[in-house]
Amino acid sequence: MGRIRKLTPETTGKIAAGEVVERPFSVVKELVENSLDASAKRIVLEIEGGGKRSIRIDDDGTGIAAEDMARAVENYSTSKITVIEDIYRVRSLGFRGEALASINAVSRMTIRSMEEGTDVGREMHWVAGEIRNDGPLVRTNGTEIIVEDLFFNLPARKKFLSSDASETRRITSAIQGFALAWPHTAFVMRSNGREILSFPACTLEERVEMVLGASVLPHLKPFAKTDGRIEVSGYASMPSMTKGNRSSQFIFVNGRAVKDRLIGHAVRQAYQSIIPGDRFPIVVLMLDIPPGMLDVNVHPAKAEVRFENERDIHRLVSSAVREALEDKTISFREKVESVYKTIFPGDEATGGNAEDHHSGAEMAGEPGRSDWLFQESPHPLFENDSGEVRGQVSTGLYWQLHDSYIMIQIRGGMVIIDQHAAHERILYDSARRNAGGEKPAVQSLLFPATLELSSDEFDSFEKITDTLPTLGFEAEPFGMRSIIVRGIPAGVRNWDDGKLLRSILSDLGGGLPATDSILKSFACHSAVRAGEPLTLEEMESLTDQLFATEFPFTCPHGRPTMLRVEMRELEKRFHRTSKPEG
Amino acid sequence: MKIQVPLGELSKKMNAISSVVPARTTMPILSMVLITADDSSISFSATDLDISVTSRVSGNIETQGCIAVPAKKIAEIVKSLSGDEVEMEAEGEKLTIRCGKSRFSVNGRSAEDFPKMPRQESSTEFDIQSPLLVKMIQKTIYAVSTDLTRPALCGVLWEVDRNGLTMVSTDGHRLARVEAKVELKNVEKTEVIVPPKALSTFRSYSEKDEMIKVGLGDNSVSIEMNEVSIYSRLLEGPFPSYQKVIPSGNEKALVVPRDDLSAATKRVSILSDALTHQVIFSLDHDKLTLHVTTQDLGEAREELEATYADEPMDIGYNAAYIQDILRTIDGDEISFRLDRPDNAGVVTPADEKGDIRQLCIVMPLRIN
Repeated sequence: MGRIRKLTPETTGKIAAGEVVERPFSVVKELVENSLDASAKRIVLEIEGGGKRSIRIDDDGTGIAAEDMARAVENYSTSKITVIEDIYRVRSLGFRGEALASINAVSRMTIRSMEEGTDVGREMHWVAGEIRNDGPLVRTNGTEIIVEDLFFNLPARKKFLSSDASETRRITSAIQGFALAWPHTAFVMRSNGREILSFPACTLEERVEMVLGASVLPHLKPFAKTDGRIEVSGYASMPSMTKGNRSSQFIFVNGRAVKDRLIGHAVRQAYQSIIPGDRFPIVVLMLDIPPGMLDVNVHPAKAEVRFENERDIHRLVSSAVREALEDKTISFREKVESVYKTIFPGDEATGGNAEDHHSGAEMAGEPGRSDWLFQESPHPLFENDSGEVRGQVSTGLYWQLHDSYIMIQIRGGMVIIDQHAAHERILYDSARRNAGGEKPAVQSLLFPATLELSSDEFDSFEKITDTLPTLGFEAEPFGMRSIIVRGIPAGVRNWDDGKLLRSILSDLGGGLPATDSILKSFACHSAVRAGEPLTLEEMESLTDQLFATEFPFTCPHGRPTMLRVEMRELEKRFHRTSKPEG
Repeated sequence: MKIQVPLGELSKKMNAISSVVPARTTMPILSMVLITADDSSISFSATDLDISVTSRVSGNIETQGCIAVPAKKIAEIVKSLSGDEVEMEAEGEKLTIRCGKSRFSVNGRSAEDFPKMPRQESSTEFDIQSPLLVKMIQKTIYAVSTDLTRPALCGVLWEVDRNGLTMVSTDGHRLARVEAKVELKNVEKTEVIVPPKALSTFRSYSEKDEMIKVGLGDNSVSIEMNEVSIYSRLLEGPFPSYQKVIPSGNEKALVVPRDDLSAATKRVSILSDALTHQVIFSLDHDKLTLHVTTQDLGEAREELEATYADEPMDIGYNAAYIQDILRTIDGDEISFRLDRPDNAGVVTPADEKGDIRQLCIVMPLRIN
C-alpha cells in the first residue's frame, strides 16, 4: 500500500500558519500592517505574557464591513488584490490574504469591527478557526482584534517560544520600527497593563527623537535623494555614534520593515573608512520604490524583498548616506562644533563654565586650521607687535611622546593624536580626491628606480597599473617582472628606494583589488610611522591637515586617530574632585 | 693632572665639543668628554664612535694626566662660571674645578674606559684653505638624502685629483655639485662619501682662515686644523653615477635675478600645499610667472622680469628645493637651463666667477 497520503486541510492550515505566524511578534506585525493598510491614525496594542497569553490590537481605521468579516479569516482572502498582477501594483503592506486565516488557525481569536460610515458592526469569535460566536456590535469605526492562547493547539511550536520578557522585547522593537516608518500614526503599547510605548502622531524628526532618544538625535544627519523613480530618505548617525550590532538599523521599503542585505551593504559602504568594521551606525532609512520595481512576495512574512535594479538602489542608498556624512552645506565651524560635541561628550563647545570668554560664536572656523582647539592658552609666551599671539601660543602646546603620539593641550584637557593613524587619514583623503579626478603632483626621480618584483607583486602591478598614476606613481614594466619607476607621489616620506611601492603591491595579493583597498594600502605604507621623530612644524601641520579632512577622528581602517583626556579625568585620578581649591 | 685654562677659550671649546656627544646612548662612557694633559698640550676629546673630535686648548700644565667626565655637566658648569681662569685637577676618578670662589667636584671615570681615539690611516692627503672647504660644504650639504635605505646618498661625495676637489650630494630629487680648481700636490685620485655630521662639525669649528690637512683612507676621513682634529668614518658606496643624469641638451635658457626670485618664491609658497610645496613656473617671453593653487587654501601669483626667448611652458617645482638652491648659489643672477616640463632642470650662477663652479639639478614636480 502506498505511504503517500494527502494531508488534511487542518494539517496544511497549521503548516501554512507556521510560515506566517512564528511567534507573537509575527501576529503583532501582521495585525499592525492590517491596521496601517486600513489607514489607522491611532493604533493601541496590548499584550499579556509576552503576547503568548493574549494580544489585543485596536485601531481607528476604516474597519471591516460586517458582511466581509467571515470571509476575512478564510485562507487567501483579501481586500487588497484581486489578480496576481496586483501584487506588483500593491502599495499596501499586506496582500497575501494569509495572515488572519493563519493566526486564526492556531489561536482563539475575536474580531470586533465597524466599517466607516455604517451604523452597526459585527463581532465574531473563533477557536482554532471554528466560529464559536457571531453577533452585531456598535463601536466607533475601526477594528479590534484579540488573539489569545497562541499555539494552544500546536504545543510543539509553543514549546519553542522564548521567555515573556524576550517575546515582549521583540514586539517592542517591531512597534518602534513601525513607529519610525509611520510617524503620522499614533502608537501606544501596553504590556501586562503597563504602558511601555506611547508615540503621538508627529513629524519624522520628532518620532526619531522619541524612538531613538533625545541624546541620539544630535548625532543624526538627515538625508534624502532620488533618481527620479526611487526615493531614499532618512537619518544616518555621524561616526561619533555607533553601535556594536545592527539593532539600530531600521530599513523600510515602501513603509515595510525589511532586513535587506543589499541595502545593509550599501549603508556599510557609505561608512567605509569612517567607522571600524565591527561598529554599526544608527540608520533610519526609507526607500520609496514604484511597486512594479519590487517583489515583496518572496516570503510569507515579507521580511525580505527583491529589487528589479539592485545596482541603482545600491548606488543611490550609498551615495545618499555618504553625502549626508560629508555634508558640505554646513560650515566648517558647525562641523567641528558638532563633531567636537559628539566626540567629546560632556564638553560643550561653548565652554563648561560661565566665565569662559570664548563662546562658540568666537571660535575660529577657518578650514584647515585646528586653532579652535587651542583658543584658550593659559600663558601666551610672546606677543608680537600687533598683539597677536596665535602662532606662539601653539608652539608651547605640542609634544611628541615616544616619537609616536602627538600630545596637544586643549581647552579642558589634552588630545593625544596617533601620528601614523592621523597621517593615514590625511593621505587617504587626498588619494581619494585624486582618484576622483583631481591629479596628484608627481615628483620626478633623478635616478629612476628599477624594481625587481616577485611574480605575485608583478601580477598586482599589472592589475593596478591604471590606479597607480592617480596616486602619483609613474611606473612601467621594464623587462621580465621588473618595473621602472620614474616618478613618485610628491611629498611622500617613505619611498625607501621602492620599498613603499613593493609593500603596496604585496599587500594586494591575488584577485582584482578594489580601488579603495589600494588607497588604504598606499595611505598605510606612506604615512609617517610610529617611532619617527617629528619637528614642531610637522606636528602642527599634521594636526591642521588632519582637521581639514572630512573625518578627522578615524583612520581609513576606522580606528580612532585621537583620544581625549579631560582635566576632570585627571582630577579624579589625583583625588582632586571634591573641592576645586584642592 | 692639574691644569689652568683661560675661561673664555674653555667655554667655547666645551660648547663645540658637546655637539659631538650623543644625546642618547647605551654606552654611558660616550656621554663623557676625555680631558688629557700631556707634555705639550691640553685636549678635550669626544666621540660617538662614528665621529671623534679632539680639541686642543692652550693653558698651563702643572701635572700631566687624564680623566673622563660627563660632557654636558662640565659644559654647563664652565658656561656658568665667571672669572678669567679655570683650574682643573683630577684625583682618582674625581675632577675638581676651581674658578674664583667657586669649587666643583665632579665624579668621572678612568680615562682607560674611554674609547681609544682612532688613528687615521690615509691613503692620500692634501692641504686646502678652510674657507674654501666651508663654502663647498655649505653648497652641497642641503641636498643630502635622509633615506637610510640608500646610505650612499646620505653623505657628500668627494672626488679629488691633482686638479681639484669636487663635492656632490643628491637625495634623488635634486643634486648639488661644486667643483674647486685647486692644485693638490701629490694627491691620488680618490672618491669617498663623507657623512654630513663630520662636515657640520668641521663647519662649527672652522672660524679662522687657515690651511688644513685632509686625509682620506679606505673607510675614514680626517681633518686636521691647528687646534682641532676631526676623524670620521666614511659611508659605503657606490655613489650613483651622477654624471649620467646631468642633462647636456637643455637648450631653453632662463636668466632671473636671484633675490627677486627668492623673495617671490617665498611669498607665493605661503599658499602652497603643505606636503608638496608645489609652485608652478610659467615661462613666457622675457617673463617668469610663479603661481600656486592649493585646494581649500587659495592661489597666489607673482610676475618677474626675466630673460627668456623660447616657447612658453609651465614647469612645477618643490618651492623648498628652489629656495635651497637660491640660498646657496652665488651671483646676482642665476640661470636655469631647461628642456621639457618633465625633465631635469639645471641651475647655475649666470656668471661663473671665483674659485669654484657650481651646478644644481632639480627634478620637476609634474603637473598633470
